[in-house]
Amino acid sequence: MTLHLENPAAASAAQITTAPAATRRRPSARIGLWLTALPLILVLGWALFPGLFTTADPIAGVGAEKFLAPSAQHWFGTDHLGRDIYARVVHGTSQTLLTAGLAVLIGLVAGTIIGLIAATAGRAADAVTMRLVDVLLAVPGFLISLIVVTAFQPGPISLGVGVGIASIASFARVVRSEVLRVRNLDFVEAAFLSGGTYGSVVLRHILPNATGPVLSLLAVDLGAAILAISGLGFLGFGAPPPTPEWGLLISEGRQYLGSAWWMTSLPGLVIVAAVVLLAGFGRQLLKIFRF
Amino acid sequence: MGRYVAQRIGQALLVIWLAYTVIFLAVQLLPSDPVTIFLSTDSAVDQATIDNMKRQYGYDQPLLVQYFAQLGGLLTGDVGYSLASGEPVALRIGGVIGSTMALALSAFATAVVLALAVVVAATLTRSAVLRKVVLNLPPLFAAVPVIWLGLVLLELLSIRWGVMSLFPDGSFLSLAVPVFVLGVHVSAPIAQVLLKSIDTVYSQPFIDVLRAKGASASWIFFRHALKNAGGPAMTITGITVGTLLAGSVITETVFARSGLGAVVLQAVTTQDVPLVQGLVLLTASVFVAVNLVVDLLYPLLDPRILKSNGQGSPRVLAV
Amino acid sequence: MATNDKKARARRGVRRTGAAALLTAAALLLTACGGNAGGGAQPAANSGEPVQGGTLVFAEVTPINNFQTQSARFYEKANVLNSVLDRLTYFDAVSGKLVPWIATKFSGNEDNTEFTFDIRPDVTFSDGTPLDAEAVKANLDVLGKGLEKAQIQPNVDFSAYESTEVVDEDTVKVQLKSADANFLRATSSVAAGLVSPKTLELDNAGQSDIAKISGSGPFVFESEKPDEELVLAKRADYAWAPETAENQGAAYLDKVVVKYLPEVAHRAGAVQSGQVDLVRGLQPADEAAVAAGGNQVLPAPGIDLTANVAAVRIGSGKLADQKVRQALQAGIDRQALKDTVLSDSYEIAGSVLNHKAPGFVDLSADLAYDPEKAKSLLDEAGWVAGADGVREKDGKKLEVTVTSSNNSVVIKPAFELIEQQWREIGVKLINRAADNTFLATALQDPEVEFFGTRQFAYGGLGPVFGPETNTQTLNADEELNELFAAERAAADEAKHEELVAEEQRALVVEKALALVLWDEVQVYGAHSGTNIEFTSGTAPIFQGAWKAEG
Repeated sequence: MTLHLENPAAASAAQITTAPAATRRRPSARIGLWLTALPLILVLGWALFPGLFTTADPIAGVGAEKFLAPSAQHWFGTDHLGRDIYARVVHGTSQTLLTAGLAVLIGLVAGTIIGLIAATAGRAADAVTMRLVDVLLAVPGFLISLIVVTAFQPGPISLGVGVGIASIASFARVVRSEVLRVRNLDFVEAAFLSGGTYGSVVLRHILPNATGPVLSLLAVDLGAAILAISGLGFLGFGAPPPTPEWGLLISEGRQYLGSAWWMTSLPGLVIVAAVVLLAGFGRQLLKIFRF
Repeated sequence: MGRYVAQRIGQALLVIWLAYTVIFLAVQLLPSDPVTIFLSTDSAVDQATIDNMKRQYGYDQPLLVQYFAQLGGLLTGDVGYSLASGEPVALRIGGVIGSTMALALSAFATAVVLALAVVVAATLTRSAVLRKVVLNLPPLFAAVPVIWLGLVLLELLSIRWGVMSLFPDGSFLSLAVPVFVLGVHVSAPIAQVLLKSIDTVYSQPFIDVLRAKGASASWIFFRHALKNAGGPAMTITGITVGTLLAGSVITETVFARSGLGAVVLQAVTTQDVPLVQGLVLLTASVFVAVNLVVDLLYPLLDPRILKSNGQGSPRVLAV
Repeated sequence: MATNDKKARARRGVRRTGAAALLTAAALLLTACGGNAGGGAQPAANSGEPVQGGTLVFAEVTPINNFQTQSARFYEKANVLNSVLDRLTYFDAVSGKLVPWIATKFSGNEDNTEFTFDIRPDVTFSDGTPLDAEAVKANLDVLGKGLEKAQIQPNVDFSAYESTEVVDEDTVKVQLKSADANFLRATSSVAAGLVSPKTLELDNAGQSDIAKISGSGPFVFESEKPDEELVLAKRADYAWAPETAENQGAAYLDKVVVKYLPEVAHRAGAVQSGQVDLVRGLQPADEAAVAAGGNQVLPAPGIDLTANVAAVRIGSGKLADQKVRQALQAGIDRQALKDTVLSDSYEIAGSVLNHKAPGFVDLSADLAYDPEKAKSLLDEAGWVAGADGVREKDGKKLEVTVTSSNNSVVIKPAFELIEQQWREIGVKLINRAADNTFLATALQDPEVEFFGTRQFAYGGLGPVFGPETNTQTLNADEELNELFAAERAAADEAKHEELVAEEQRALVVEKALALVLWDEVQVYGAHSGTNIEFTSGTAPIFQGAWKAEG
């Protein structure tokens, strides 16, 4: 699992364009963008219209068909109750994206507010908010998640909130540094000098120009949140069955690793692919939005 | 300088205190009475016993009184008793911390080596294909779930091929494999930060000057780029502390190693509040201490920091 | 089922006295229970003379750090303490009777209010203290009354306890407040293990620390690495095994190393690769592979325990009507459970008691799968199907929640399947089984409708389902408690048996407060060279265990 924090999230938000003296070639960036975006659109399709992609029932199994290896009929094999694992992956997408999406949303909103205050509201505010971020970093994110999930029952909301709190810090940091960068640009100075109010300048000039890295972090953090949720599932803090969810599929299937490798491995590959694609998508976004 | 150091230490203590307070409040959210959980195995609990226990541990007091009593205890070095085992919290944590430290430190070293390897390969290779492949490694490392990698390696190495023990028996592989699994995971953010800062260094004019002077690529890389990228890389060290600790929980669970991971899980599962608080105190202190050291060393590495940033937060954002 | 010959043989070996008829019956019972799942070749290890020496590595499920003996109601704890502590009596599964252990003779008066134990002379605790009448009294007092200064609660099976009188050095006489037909049986439980009086003087932390617990058992604590391993060493001067034990002296093994394998996936592999000699919690999916590899699949029936049940709490009101509970009882397809998530090592429950438990009555005719009956019962109770297929009444949906620990490897999949079965009769089950964090609060929450569990029932069904705070139903049912009281007070054996049968009928059929699933069994995997048997409480008997050479 990924423990989130700023982890790959923050770091790769600001990803490497590439090695020395790389030049940014927009057309190739577009191609790269589509290459990463297309599979992600497929995943989005799974989430919105699962019925289009599979006809098997994700929650009712056929006892006699348990532990079947992958085949033309069951692409990802079947599980211990004879349920089709591919169907569970497809039907699990929406729950997965909703939970991870909530986590990211919380990180984004809270992080943006904190980062904005830190960067624009003066030194005292900066010191206070950055100490807050330090506290968020100092208390391990997974512990926060564990406590939140324990306090309320595990489900999409508590998991999303738990993981989301842990990602506030990385958003706050990105927003703060971006805003600091943008703030010092000439046109922003000009906007202030030409009598713009604080709010209007922030809304009209600073935020829009800081969106690139934040959007990019958003994509990356979505992947990290998926991993974090699967890690929680592994530790026994997942949503209750039978609702399929990606992280739970690997964490529940692992019990049968010795006898039915596909149960944990194939959903695992889907997660890896999705997270890598999201990271790549984030990088592409950054290239496009950067100026 | 002296004033700066004092200020940083003060901030560090402030963060620890805040973290402790946040967790004190957070554990109040937990649905049950810590004492009841400790007492109830599967037999009936007598109300008088519960009251007794509560009195003994001070849970019958108002929240504010509890808070200050615990804080007071903290100042005198008393972190309380684990409710589940009756052991002092300090002893419970102290008994396993060595194992986690060994794992975390070795994994960190592995991660740095891995990250450097990625960076060197990506920067110095002449093959564009190889570079693309290498550049995609950190996101891949970050995307592979630790659980999955650990379980698959155990299944293969221990059960299928019989070359390593399922248990932490002190053999080389029984430490090396968990270290590798955790190291891979932690190397991703380090590699990404390093790559990013090296990228920044390369975009600076002095590199072009060096090139013009005819310096070789590897000379420029090792002598200048890497050195200049060292600062940001150091700050990520501070941040990695949290990731390392959290990763240890999963790694230890997968490899059945004793350590903080098992204690954290037990503490939360049994809602052993004093133990949870003790753990947070520990992780917050480690995090703050590492970052303090990084911050204090940073100006030595790059004296510009102190001058340019008067607000006492010299940490270059690791983003 | 060739496999059970071996088991029956082993059992026979344990017995020294007893009628042949009983023996055959026992063998039949064991056969009935179904043994090895793989059905493959059995290893030849279980023959020949015991081998002296060696270290047995036993992989437990999860580490624990509280070994306080009175609360030894968890397998992890009982499996260790079973070899560290002796008890007054021993339940011999073959004869179904209590046999002498530390008490060489025991008897009760006619109305079961007074019991006399003759204590075996020359027994010592590992700290050197003699195990005499005084020591027994000290233990019984704590069992019956608890120990306030160490926050130890009374043992529920000893609720009738009044006092103990030391008659002489080797004899104690126990006085009960009220008659208790189950009192003697309760003295055989691991939770009633005898510890040194010096141990009883320690505070709670001390008495929870395995390193400080001093018993008179065949093994003593040697060393511990928290959460990783626990090493027990044999006591060379041990000479007071239960009367029926084949090995009357010190253990054959020099050491037992307890390790932990929380990952279910690794348990079969650990045995197959020879990294452990014995593992608990082998899952059904892996049984065939273990047997095929020439190793052993050993189901240890939990005769001392209730069957696996979903105990019903009526606090949420949804299950307050017994018709609803009966519907759910009829809505469980136990054969499908066995075929899909269990294996031949498991036996479908015939009552709330184990098939081999004293007083078991077969209710399987009442437990047939009948979804039509379930639906009509639910209709009668006023629960009608809603738009989403889930039944409703007074605006409330028939959504029920189950909690359980993760101690059993099959309980979560079992409830996953039950969830599917109940979906067909319009009941939604929220499956929180095997979620230990949830259990921590749900255990005490009467609004959580089901507690999936199995309980040691040394004191009969009364202590398990009776008290207001019993964790099964969290409710004192008046009629049941009258029944329990009558049963405990029954002086006549035939009358007692009849009342035990009535209790089972009430719990399973009429009130349906225990939805019974399968008989408790712990499935162990053992390496081909391991020779081991289990107590009626499923604990491995390390004292009689040995490893074949080579």
